[in-house]
Amino acid sequence: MDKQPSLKNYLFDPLWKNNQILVAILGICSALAVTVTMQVALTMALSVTFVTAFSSFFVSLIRKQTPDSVRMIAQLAIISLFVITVDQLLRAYLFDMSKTLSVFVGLIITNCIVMGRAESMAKNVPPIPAFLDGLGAGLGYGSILLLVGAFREIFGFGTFFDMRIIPENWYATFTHPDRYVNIGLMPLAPAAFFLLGLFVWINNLLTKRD
Amino acid sequence: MWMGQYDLKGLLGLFIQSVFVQNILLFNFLGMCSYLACSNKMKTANGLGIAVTLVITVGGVLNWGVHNFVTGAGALSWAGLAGVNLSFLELIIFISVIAGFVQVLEIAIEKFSPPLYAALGVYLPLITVNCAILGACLFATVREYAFFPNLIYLFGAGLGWWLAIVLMAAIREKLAYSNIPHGLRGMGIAFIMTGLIAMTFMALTGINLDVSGKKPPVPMILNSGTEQNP
Amino acid sequence: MPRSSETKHTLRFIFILCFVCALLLSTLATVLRVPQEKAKQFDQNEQLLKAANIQTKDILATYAARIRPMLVDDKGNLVSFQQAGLDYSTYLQKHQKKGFADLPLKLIYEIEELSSKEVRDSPTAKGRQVPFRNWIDSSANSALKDRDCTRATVHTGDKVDGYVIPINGFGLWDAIYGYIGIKADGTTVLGATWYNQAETAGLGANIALPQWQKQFKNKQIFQVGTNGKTDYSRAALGLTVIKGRVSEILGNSPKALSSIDGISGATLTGKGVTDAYADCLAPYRPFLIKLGDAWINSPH
Repeated sequence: MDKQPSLKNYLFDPLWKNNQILVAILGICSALAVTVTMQVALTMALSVTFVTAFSSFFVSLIRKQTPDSVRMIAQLAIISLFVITVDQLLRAYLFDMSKTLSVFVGLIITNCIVMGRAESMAKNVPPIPAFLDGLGAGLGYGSILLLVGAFREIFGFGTFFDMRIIPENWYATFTHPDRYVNIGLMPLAPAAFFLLGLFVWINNLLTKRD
Repeated sequence: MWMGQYDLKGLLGLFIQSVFVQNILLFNFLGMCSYLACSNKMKTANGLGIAVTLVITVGGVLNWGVHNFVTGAGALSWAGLAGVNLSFLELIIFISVIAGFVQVLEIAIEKFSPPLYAALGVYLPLITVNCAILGACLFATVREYAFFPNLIYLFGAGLGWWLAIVLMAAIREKLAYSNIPHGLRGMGIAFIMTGLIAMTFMALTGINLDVSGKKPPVPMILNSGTEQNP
Repeated sequence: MPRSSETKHTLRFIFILCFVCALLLSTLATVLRVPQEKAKQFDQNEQLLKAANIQTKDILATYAARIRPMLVDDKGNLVSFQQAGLDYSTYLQKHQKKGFADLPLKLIYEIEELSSKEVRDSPTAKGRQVPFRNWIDSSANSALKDRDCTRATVHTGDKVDGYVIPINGFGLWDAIYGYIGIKADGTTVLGATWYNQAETAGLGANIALPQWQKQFKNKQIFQVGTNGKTDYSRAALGLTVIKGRVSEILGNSPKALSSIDGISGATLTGKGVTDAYADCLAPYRPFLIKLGDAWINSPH
């Protein structure tokens, strides 16, 4: 009989080896629109991690009682519960962030990662491993989000978490038009696609070497 | 409630806007997951496109009803409960309506057209979690369309998604014969290609055919000898 | 029979799941309702105070003390909500989306002067940090308790720093909403903010950034004539977002006083902003003319 995968494996497997964005290619929708700045990316990453971890936990908790015919709708209901919680909390305490994220918080419900983890892992394993698996998946997703966000913010705006990184006097002005200019493509969505394509490539190269 | 501020010309403009200019996949980037997983062949892309268009249109209309009569602000006034605000239940009800409709659709297709069911069947349950459907419903809610503009917007969004996925399937079929670096094959090149198509669609930015939303110009109060703004 | 008990089990499961979800969500929503209302109110007040060029640490208190919502009719007379028989929050909720400029009674906010008594006696002025509730209750500010949102009479230019006008329009993608603060002379801008916009991040969305908004200070909404004088009844009313920088293109010409630097890559958003100002300020013209006349005739 196979040895049970240790709890650590549950956490680390979806973090890198089976990274949800780069390997499983899930959760792309929101990864593009919310990576314009680091702050937005961080809020989104934390929200998704919270939702994935806790919804996996609860789906796993009631996995023995859930009838098979309503399995998907039950998972959706639990996921929606946590997403609405995040949405309501953001509206109460981080109003500016909730204005920026607007409908994308609600779209976490349809985020393939959350559903994917519930469907493939949570209904088959006990609650604690399910929680760790969800946590790992969310953190893996979050780290890619932050990476893309970092590139887009630094090269698109010259700031990092709203702190200026590229000094003001490096920029081109009317009198010195040949100096540095922000990469205008970065705040726009195609840049996120190109960056993701590059990261997938790098990830493929690295994991082939392992 | 039925037409809102729109006339027929405005509806046409809204339609073109939601199919091309604000394409729900290439501009809002919703519905990417299933596209990336299933756009290898034209046939599956077509089937998926039709299914998504149907679900967005009907599901969206049902959700419009939910928003306007159950969960919007002051929506329950027809039941005499004007002060009750159920907007926090909106997300969960929306997704349940979509899931319910997909389930009903699946049963209906299985009964009335087994070959269609055989072709589409496996994708139907996946459509429930397609970001584009919930996204289109949420956008429509935020913009507070009346009934017919809402219908046109949803139908346009569905068609736009179908158009985008067919475009990409067509290109990916050709890409199979190209000489792509090993690490980029498959997903990597799909991303880069999608980025390029998205850039193309950005050329349509600024075309605003949704003219009914604008206010008519306010006449100057004094009209003799008034300077015009530069 | 196993089949029907399975169905019963399924139904029971769904029922319990729905009930639990509904219970949890309702509890959450009820608990968070007050913080959410406060957050929204705080955000809007913050934007309004920024447009009025009032810096303060205590946004809600300053708003309550110094900002008074009023109405302006077509002839340019100030009318209080009480006189018009309207309720402020109902009025706001009904018309905020479409804007106020087309209504027969338009919304305007009066910025009251920071009265010297309040400055002298306010606890924060004395160097103590006092929670909002205590500040309102303290006897030195008992006048605040008697105030309500609706004054019976008002005199234009009497102890008023200026006015804030709500502006709305259409940017590139969606509606935009903001405030513009005007001094009591009816033409000088105190500040401008855009608090609700869905423009392209990094381009049009920059209209919401303080760096772009700070250039609005001291601009003139009435076009100054070539002779340096402002003819309130004839001049063009509004601010224009031009392509390029005002200092480079318009230099010192009078037009520069009514022009704003454009954001490169966001021409259409800029056009939306220009149109918004033109459309929304025009109905207030009779009122602004009255302000201008009062300012010229009063000692200052």
